[in-house]
Amino acid sequence: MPKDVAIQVENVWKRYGLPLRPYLRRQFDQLAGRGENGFAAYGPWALQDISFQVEQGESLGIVGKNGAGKSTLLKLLAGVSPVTHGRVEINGRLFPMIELAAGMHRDLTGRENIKLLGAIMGFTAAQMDAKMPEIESFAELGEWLDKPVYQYSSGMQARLGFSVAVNVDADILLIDEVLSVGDVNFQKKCLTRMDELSNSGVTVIFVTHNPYNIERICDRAIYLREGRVTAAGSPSDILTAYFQGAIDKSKVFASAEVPAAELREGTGSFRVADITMRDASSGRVITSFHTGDSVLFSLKLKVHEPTSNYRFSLRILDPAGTILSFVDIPSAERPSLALHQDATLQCLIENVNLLPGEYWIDIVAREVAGPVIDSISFALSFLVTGDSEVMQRTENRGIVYLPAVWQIAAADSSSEIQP
Amino acid sequence: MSHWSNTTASANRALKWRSYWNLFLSLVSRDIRARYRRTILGPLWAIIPAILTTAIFSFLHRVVEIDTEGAPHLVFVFAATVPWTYFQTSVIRIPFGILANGTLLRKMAVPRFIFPLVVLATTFFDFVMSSIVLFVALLLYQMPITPAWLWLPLLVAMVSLLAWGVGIGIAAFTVYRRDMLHGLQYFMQVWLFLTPVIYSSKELASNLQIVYRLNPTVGIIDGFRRVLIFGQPPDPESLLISLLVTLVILLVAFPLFQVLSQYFADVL
Repeated sequence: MPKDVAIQVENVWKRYGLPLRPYLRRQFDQLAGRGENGFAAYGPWALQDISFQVEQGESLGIVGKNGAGKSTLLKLLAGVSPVTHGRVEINGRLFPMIELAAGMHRDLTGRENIKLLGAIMGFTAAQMDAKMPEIESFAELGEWLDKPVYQYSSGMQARLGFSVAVNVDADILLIDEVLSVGDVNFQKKCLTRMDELSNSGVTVIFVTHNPYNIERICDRAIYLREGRVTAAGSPSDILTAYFQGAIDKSKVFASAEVPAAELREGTGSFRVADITMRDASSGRVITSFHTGDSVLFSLKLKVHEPTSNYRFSLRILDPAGTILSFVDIPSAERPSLALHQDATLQCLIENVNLLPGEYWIDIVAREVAGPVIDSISFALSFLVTGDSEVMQRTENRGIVYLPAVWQIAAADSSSEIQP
Repeated sequence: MSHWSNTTASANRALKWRSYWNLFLSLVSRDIRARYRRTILGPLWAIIPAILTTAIFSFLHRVVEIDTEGAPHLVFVFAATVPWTYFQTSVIRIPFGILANGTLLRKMAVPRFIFPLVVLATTFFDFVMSSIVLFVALLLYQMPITPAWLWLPLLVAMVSLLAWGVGIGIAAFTVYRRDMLHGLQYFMQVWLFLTPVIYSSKELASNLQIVYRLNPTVGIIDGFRRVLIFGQPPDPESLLISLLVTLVILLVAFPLFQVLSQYFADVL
């Protein structure tokens, strides 16, 4: 292995559990003359034929949905679980930031647990004493440090574990979704610390099912799907691949997951019978569009009681359910949208500057200052793909594209700004 | 790593083993300290099991006639329950110790054999505590300290090795199939009655002795009693059998544990 390579993974296959039974099965099949398939037939495989290499100081992101094999891969890299076939080579001191509370004892105090975690990471008591002030100030636990950990909130426990973990001098860090601990301030602190570490030459392997996280930290990424590497490349390539992978999962309205009208909440003065997304110019039904395109949402309504006294809103969500935008009917336009009979309500949104990714739409209709008429959560999903200009400008980072103009102010124009 | 010179490689190995030793000490101190944190009686619990067992068996003595070869009954039983309790507790706790450290095993690539050793060390602490009580009892009964006591280090080493061997053998299986965990209490109870703890080793008919003495605890526990109560050396033949059986158990259990423990993180 070359000196500047931190991690080398070659044709790795992983099957969980003892290899005895598959081994016997294979031997038996070979005796019976059925053994031509090789070892690949003796699964189930958690990982299949994985190969990649990480250079020193590089940050590699690993994305994939639940069950894609991300955590398995981390276990192999951490050396806690043996590979079934293939080879994993690690060059340098590796620390897995997984199960941060592993080894902690709930009846011991925070301070005692810090020393214990230190020993688990391979530090002597003297080394830990030297690190103690830094860890204490990072954890921000104050007098709680001398109280037993069973009295801690889960956020405080996570803070304790994380504070020890980020103060380890490792060459390689394996990070598994630990950034979701603690409150917002602590998360910010953790992200800053991760940036510092990765800038100071630490090799980082970052595993997440939220692909946006890899943009912040990683130089490169791989996309795992059903135990195989489906794509490898820059974070933006991987994001594209990831969302393309999501396309077959997209649900359109009236699929099994949307409850039938009579099961939904609301007064039912009218019900949404169908929702489609269309290209604004051609009117064609689409499931994806480019950043900056204009789209038309078309809502077929079944009206049971004529009404003009209603509000209608589309909520645009990311896959985690965060509301990115509300699209409401302005009150001035309500009279013109009165419903007398079954109708199709259309909502045109121009220049949707969402960056490539998967998005969802919630629908809520309610009476003005009154009860809900109809609502559907995650009613429709759509995909935004980038055109090359937007991709170039943003490197596909972030969620929203804000077109910007940059220039250097002329010397005389600066005086205009001053009062 | 291939590009490292041999000296750095061996220095690295030394460093690694020192960190394992350091981890071992920390885990032992964690388990000993944490064990009594939320108790009223605290470290007294280290000696209570041996005392309770002795009390129960002493009471038994009033109901059933037990030949103590002329020794006072209390110390006669006590001298055997202290090492037996150490043995039994270790064997039962080792599998639980592996399960309790599951999160740690899933995270760090530390050698798995550390965890049974941690359990052994913490129960050894209890053993030392109850040995002090036993010593006081021997003094109260005016039992003399004899040169035979020089056998004690060997006996302690043997009971420790045996407990470790049986413990890791059971633990290696227990991680995969939990049957042993449910049956362990009863298994150890049967073992207790197959060992001269509440009765004298002389009680058994001589034609059964050969089979009986294949039980490795017979020679060891009886050894403790010979030394402490009667001031005699252990029965050499029994002790040799115990030693051989212990070695056989270790030769089977340790490689088995080493192989099976590689996959602990897969199933824990």
